[in-house]
Amino acid sequence: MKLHYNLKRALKLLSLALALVFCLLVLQDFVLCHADQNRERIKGYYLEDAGSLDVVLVGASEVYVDFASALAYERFGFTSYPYATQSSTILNYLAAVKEVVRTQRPKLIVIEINGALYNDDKIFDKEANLRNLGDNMPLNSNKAELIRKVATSDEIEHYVPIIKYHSVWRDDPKSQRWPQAIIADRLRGYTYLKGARTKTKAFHKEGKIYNYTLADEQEKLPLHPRAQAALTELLDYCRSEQLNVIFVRFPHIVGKGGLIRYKRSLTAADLIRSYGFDYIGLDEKYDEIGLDFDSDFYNQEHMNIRGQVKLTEYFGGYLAEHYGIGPSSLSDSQRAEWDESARYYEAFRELASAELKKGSKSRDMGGDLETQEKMQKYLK
Amino acid sequence: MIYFFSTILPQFLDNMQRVIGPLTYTSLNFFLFVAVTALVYFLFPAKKFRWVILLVANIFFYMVCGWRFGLFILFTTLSAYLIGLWLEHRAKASKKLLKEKKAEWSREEKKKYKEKTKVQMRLIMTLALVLNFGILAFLKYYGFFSGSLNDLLGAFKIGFSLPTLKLLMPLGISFYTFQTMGYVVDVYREKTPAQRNPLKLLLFVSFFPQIIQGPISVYDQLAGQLFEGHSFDFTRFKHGCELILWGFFKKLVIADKAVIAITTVTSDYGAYNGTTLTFTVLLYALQLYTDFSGGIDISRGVAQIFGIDMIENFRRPYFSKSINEYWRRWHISLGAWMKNYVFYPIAMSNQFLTVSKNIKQSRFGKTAAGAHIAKVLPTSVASLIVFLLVGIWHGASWKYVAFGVWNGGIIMLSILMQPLFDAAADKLHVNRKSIPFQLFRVFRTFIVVLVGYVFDVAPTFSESMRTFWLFFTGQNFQEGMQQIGSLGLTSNDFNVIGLTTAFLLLVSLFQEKHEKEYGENVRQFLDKKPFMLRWAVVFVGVLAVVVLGVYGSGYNAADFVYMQF
Repeated sequence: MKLHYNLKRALKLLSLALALVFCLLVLQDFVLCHADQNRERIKGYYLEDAGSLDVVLVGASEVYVDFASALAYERFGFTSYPYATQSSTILNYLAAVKEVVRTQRPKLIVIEINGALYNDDKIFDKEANLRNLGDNMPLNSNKAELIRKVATSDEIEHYVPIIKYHSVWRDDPKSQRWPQAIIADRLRGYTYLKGARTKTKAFHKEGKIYNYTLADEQEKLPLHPRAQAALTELLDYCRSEQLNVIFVRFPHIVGKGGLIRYKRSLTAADLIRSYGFDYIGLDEKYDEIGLDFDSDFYNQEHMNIRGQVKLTEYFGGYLAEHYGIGPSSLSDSQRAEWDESARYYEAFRELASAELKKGSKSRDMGGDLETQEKMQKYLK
Repeated sequence: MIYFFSTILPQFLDNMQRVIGPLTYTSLNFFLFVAVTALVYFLFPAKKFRWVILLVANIFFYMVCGWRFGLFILFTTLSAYLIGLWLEHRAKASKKLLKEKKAEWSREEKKKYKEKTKVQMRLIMTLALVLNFGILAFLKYYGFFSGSLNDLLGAFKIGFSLPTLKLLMPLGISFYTFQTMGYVVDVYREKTPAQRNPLKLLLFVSFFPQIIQGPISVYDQLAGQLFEGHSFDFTRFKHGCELILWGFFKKLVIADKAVIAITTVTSDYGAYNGTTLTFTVLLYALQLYTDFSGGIDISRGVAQIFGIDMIENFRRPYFSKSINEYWRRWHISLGAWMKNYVFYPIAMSNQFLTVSKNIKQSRFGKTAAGAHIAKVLPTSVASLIVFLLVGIWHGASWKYVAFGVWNGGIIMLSILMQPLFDAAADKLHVNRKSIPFQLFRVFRTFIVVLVGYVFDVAPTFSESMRTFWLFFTGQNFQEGMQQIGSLGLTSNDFNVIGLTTAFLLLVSLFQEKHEKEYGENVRQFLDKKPFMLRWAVVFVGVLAVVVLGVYGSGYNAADFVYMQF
């Protein structure tokens, strides 16, 4: 009798605890979190079927601003996804690559090295640069390793992010529009734009543009010791796992400050090549790509829709030609989803081009609901 | 050996501190620690020795929180232990000798011997008090004393000054010193037997749920519970958790939000007008109560999980109808300690009784006023002294002295002038039992309490005087509203504080009424309600704390803004 009573009580207690935990997890995942384009992109990555991606691009904002996976699929038939977050530094890359290997093991991993070219501890230690990625990774040993190595704040807050973000309803009520897009992605089972993003602005650089003389540049500058160590660790891992990986630097408008980073990229390139991996520097290939520095960027480091289309077509073709990344073999449902993404990207492209032509205020465009609503009228 | 104690052990303890992190009552680490301790405690097969688990947990807790100060608490325990035994031995030896000499000694000789024993015992007890309160006074008040003395000497241009020392306070020293000295006095008074096991006494002195902020427990009330091996009791566990949740609600949702505005004001005190300062003092009353009582609820809840009932420290003090009652409802354990160990010894001392007797026998004593003064003088003066000590206990600063004098002075005056108040009330035909009058008394007491809080809020005594001046001359509602809007709290925060305070008030009113009528608390009341309702309350409570509470490193959306994108 007493056993029965105790059992009943324990069951009640357990069910309450489970209901509470469930409720808190839902809150943590969808409401009391820092939801933005990074979250939508990384969460969207995990919606892709395992082994369905041919190429995964790892890096920072250049990756998803300059290259559009849905367009590459439409032009070349291969599937790809940017596993990238804004301001991501090289310290995040190893965990990102391990995560890509764990979930997709694609034919090719493309690593954009801009995150290795910083020379400021503040950037490496900036909590947000880690959180943009770490918060959105599922709990596993890669996430644990990332947190252990990079976190500068209380580690428990990275595992239980509600501790940090519980006041988001008060501090950043605007971010509450993102969870809706993320929930919509989850219900749909895939993201329309595959993490692509841009801004509706054409940037004009005042002063000297060094891209024209980069081919003659000989001086190399050392990497920050932390970047050097992290890149070496990443290269060791790629070699030990015999990964099919290439390193790349997407084009920037190289000004005075950018030149210093370019000189560091030469050092990084030497290190990468010493491991036997390919390094492709695109800063000096503006002509091949067909870039116009007056109309294809929205700032020195990121492209608008015109540049995005140009680079995707160039780089997609480059991958197909040099690395044999051909059309993907997808199931019918996967193909239908990618076709739908391509259709949405086309609408996105038209919308962004129209906004750009208008010369209106610079606006973020990506996977948020607002952009999706505006895209509707361009959908074919 | 020397190397081990001078290098290896300190390094190990430093590393342990770093790895485990602070065990503050609102940290996850603390509750992990509580969960592990409770698990080991209840699974430990030998019930008789479960107190050892608690002791080990206490030592671990203290080591993690500040092992470098461990010697202080050990010294207090050891001195109390030895002096307790000494006092008991002396008392027993005296009784034995008196028994042996019962027939031999005259009444006078016996009385003389008893007095001699009493003096000896008092000296022994005083030794413990001087040693332990001496350490406390030195660490806590040296800065205040040396600063004040140096100011005074400087004013008289005397070329001598006491050195400035940077002294760190061992964790919980005020609480455990008061608690342990209470034990020594109880042994001296033969109210309680001396503890023969020093480890058990250490457990009493260092019980981890109470060491940081009390309550100051009485040996008789707590020790037995600590040494008894408790079995797991679901109802106690549940009540403990509910109390912890309530404590979290008060502390994290109300107090830690309100303190943001208070800190903003105190960090630039001179910049605010009378309206803002009035608001700040009101907010402080709310913050102080919710912070302190919330913390105590967490402590008591944790103890309750282990089957240990600690004394209640707050009983809705802002419902008090007099300042005397307020001090019986606010920080009850400190008030009780002061009453037992300071107030009664002073009020009942021969000197005070003699003064009272002399007044009574004088011509003035024959008048009604004289008779009244003769009757209440010991009580009122003892109250003033007690509150002076309470003020000093709160902090080493003249403003706390003023805080003590204000409270003690009001109590002294209210005792002395009671007949006048009674006469005035009679003359004005005031129905003292009516609800409006009761509400007036509550309001009046609250105002008196608020005046005391001004000394607390203001950074210095002179600033508190300026605050009183501004209450009357510096009111500017419009400017005040602007200032209040920039105290670091958003309108959402003020809404949360307002709504949760209204909820706290409702619960407190219910508790006040229910306790009076049925003698049970809200948790016991909830026990009788249907399962779904009970758990809904817990559910909503947890969510409220999680969503509305202030904890963690904090979120700033601007940190995530990448200027170039």
